[in-house]
Amino acid sequence: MVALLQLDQATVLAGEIPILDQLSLEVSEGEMVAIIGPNGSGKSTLIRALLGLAPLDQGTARIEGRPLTTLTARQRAASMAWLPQDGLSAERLRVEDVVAAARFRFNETRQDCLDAAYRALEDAGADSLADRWINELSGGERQRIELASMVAQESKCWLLDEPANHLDPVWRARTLKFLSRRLGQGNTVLVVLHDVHLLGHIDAAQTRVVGLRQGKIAWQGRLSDQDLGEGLETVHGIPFERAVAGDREYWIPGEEPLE
Amino acid sequence: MKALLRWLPWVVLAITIAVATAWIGPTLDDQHGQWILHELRLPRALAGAMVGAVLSAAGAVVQILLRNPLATPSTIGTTAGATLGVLAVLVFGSGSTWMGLPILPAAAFAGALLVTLIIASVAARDRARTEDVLLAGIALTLATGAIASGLRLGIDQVTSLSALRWSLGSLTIIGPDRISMLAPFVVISLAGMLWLIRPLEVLISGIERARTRGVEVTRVRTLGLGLASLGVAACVATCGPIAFVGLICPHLVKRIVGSAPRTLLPASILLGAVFLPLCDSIGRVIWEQREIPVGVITAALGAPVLFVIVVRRGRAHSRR
Repeated sequence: MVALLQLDQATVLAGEIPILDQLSLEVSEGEMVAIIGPNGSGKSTLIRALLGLAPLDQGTARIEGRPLTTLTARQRAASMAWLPQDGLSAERLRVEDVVAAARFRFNETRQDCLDAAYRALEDAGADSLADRWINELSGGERQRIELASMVAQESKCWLLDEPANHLDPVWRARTLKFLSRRLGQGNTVLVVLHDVHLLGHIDAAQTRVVGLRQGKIAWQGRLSDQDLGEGLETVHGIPFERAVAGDREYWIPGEEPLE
Repeated sequence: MKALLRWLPWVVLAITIAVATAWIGPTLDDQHGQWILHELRLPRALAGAMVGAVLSAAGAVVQILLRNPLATPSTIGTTAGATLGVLAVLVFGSGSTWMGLPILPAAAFAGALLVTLIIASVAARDRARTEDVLLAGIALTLATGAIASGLRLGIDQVTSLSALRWSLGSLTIIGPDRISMLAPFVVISLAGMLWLIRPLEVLISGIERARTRGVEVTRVRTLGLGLASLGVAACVATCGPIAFVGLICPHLVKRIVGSAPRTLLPASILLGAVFLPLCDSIGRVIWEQREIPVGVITAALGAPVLFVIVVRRGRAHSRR
């Protein structure tokens, strides 16, 4: 079977310095992949390379076996939806217009488009916000609009860049649970996360963790793996300690050796 | 269809007000007065409505395409580029057509497009900030202004005086012949910009987001800036550079109906079509002895608006 998303020996340079360094990765349909790694390890660039926003200096990106560069913007939009880090626009826009705009790739009447936008809002539990202005929403409400937009685009794969940033703990958990639900509905999810513990909200066995360090994959495994601690150490460069509270396990960064 | 019906009353209202501005000013009862009304004031009001509509729409579109509330044809140098093109034609002379094209609007378009594309390339760079785009616009405006001043030295005093009057932005020189030259450009530019509403609806939430949602951003941006430049250039060729309409009108519209292009763009067109003839009429009555060029009025109203937007944005940033 052809992988849904594929990077082959992908290199992205910033001047002379590689941000992605001959990185190869395959994501199959229906998979849940979490990308972890320290700041500057290339997590966001990995997502942007798949979307075609960060052009590759070497290597190839393929979507369902076809080179990314040969696809039209609409074809890309059918395969991948993106939740960027920068947050919703600060413009004075109605929620329904924002969500409807995510359906640009469809040739449909305005009424059909709005109907679909309302269904997406309902799915994200935000139908009551439809006629509000987005610049007057709270952080949690904005997150629901972002997720509704992802739903409205009806893409196969969701690429999310730090979706838990700027959210309170409750909304972080809700976001991850929402992703888990979409996974159950057949979506493929690739998510960049700072905090591996958020993955506790998703069934551990089905989640693949990919750890980046200096633009390369430094460790790869399952969340349920016994050597997750070792993996975290490889990725972050310092030892992690395991702590158990209730039926959850936590990994806490150990003391950093002073130089 | 539904959308057309929804806008129809507003279109009628806007046209009515624009035409009614012709009656503002000294009363014209006698025969001579009727002639002034029909031959001078009505064409002026009509041209004012067309120019206002295009400048306002171009302002709204450029703001969305460059993701910048301060980017308008007059702040990014489009107007200055068109002005330079027109002055160059005035200085170097030549007939009114060249290879079948009316040369004045063609030269204005060439100047406008050149400056706009330079600004677009600055704005398209990855880390271009709001300030970069505007500073580049100011630099280009100053540069083209300097060249234009130099060119003025090359022409005789009579032409120079009329060039000066023209460069203040005025609707006084307009007769029916100028209107028929302006109209096709206005129609193409407005229709083209309205046709781009769907991709603009996506672009308003960010350039990169739009790209991942299926918008061919480069194509839309080139088309949009080209259509805006075309309309602005035709206006500048007809009545000189009239500044700030593209800043004031979309700004007011945004405060009332929001920023969604599907309402912002038609509403800006209508407000512009009312705003400019009104300003022109104010210029006619404010000072009894003399007419004040409409470009002076819009600049006097627009500069404070620009100032307020800059201060507001500064505050919004520091709050973050």
